[in-house]
Amino acid sequence: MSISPLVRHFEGLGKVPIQLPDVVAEFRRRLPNSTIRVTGVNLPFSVLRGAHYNYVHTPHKDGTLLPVDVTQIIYSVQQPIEWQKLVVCKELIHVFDDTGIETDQPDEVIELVKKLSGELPKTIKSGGLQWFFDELAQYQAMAILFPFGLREAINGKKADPEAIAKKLELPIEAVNFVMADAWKTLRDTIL
Amino acid sequence: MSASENQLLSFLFDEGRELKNLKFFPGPECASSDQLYEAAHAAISAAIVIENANMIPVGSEKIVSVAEFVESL
Repeated sequence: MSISPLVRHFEGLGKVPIQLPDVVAEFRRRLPNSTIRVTGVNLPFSVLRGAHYNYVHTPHKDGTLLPVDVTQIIYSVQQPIEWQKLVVCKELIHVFDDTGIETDQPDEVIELVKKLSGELPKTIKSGGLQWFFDELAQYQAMAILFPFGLREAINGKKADPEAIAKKLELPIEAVNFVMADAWKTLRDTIL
Repeated sequence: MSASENQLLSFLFDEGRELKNLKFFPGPECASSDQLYEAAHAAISAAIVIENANMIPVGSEKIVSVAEFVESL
């Protein structure tokens, strides 16, 4: 499923900053059969800012009923709110991952970890593309949280990026990325 | 297979849950697979026992229209 309708939805609200409870609600509304849990953990973000963990409970022997399909959106509460927002939005986007890019086999987990940690080169020549879509989701999250209409309205006004970041509650790195000349082309490509 | 790799894979595949998808947002100091395996295991095992499934980060900035936002800069 494309995230373009979601991006357009929040673009159309014409209000900023985009509020994460509204984003989570919109994902849940579009996936009524999924259980989406958002949980903050009190762990350092230096190595891991967040994770998307989707699993199915295997039946218990005693027949206890459990949720069939659970998605855990996990983030470190030790990072600033602007990073928490970007991380949670990015991890939510993976609920739309097609089966071909899901990480559901042991060898895929190993490859993903090694590529994200830099132990293996990020190449499309061999192996899966889970790492690519993992990183792509960061940019898709920026497209949701930083409406393009706002970017166009700001562009050329010499506004202070720090002020934009503070008011949008987004990392300064994300604001600089979206305000860069290449963003329009990238955005058009990934949506 | 390192101990941390084995620990995460055992957790993901051998404890009554079937993995469907896993993705990560590495932090700025992530420099080895063992670091990421350990951090992932710690984060996931902590998260699944938290009863509150709605810990959504909420900002404090006032919500305004795009026009008001631009005007305020």
